[in-house]
Amino acid sequence: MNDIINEILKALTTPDGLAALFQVIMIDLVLAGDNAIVIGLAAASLPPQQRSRAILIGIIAATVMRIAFAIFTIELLEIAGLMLAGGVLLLWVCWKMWRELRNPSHSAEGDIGAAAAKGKTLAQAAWQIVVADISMSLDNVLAVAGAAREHPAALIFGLGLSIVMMGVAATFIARLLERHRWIAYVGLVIILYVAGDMVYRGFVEVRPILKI
Amino acid sequence: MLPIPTPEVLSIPPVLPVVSLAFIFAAGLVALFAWWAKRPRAAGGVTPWDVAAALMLVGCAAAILGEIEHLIEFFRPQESKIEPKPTR
Repeated sequence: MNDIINEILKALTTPDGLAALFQVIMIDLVLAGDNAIVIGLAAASLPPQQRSRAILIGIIAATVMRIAFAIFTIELLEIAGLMLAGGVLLLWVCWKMWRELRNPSHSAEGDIGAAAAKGKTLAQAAWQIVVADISMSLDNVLAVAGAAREHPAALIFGLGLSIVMMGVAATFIARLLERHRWIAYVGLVIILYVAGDMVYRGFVEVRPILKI
Repeated sequence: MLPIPTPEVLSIPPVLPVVSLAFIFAAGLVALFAWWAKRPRAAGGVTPWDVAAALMLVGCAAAILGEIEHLIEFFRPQESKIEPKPTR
């Protein structure tokens, strides 16, 4: 613990450390953006008491993925088509969200009961968030691992900051989408862009292997 | 996995990440005002909380469109950046 505190103090008092800290803060804030939108989108249609739980699940999942992928960066880079698979997964999440937006009362028409009458369940939202987190963390893996590798304190601080940022942003966005449902389409287009970009880059990556 | 940055890409300043941070900062200020002024979150019409959330959404969108690779290359020490090939 003392080592970490000393490392943080060192980072805050040396020009090199400060530069690394600033770099990590900028990168982590930027990386938290896509996670925040997808968590907000998935949580928006839940009742308020379940919404905070869904956001918490999303933040924990994103953090775990980010740490795990940063540890196994080298191994992951050797797997061909991972980016393409991540993009396709994210497209599937987009499709599910599109269907929910088009048919908000889809599950309310059945005789499933009062819980279903609310629409999406917490488990469904959590599943969507975790799948999207896996895809987007894959996309960000190199950025996280490459930035400030020499400054673990800066990395820890940046990770903490991005967790807070994800929580605050996702809560704000979820509340906004609940009140003004049409804005959810804007969020969906943004996530669709991320998915499309991943599919394109993944396809370019596997093209030489498949000899297309 | 990341595309190899070309000299053209490296010459572009990271405008969108900076715009993103500006919007996120503005969202924070509006939310701070809404909290300080005790504005209701669920009143009719558009509340300061809605404005803060919209600014946050725009900030996140700018961050995504900004391509993180540009930001990383921008922060990389000058000597390690790819030098443009001399033209003959």
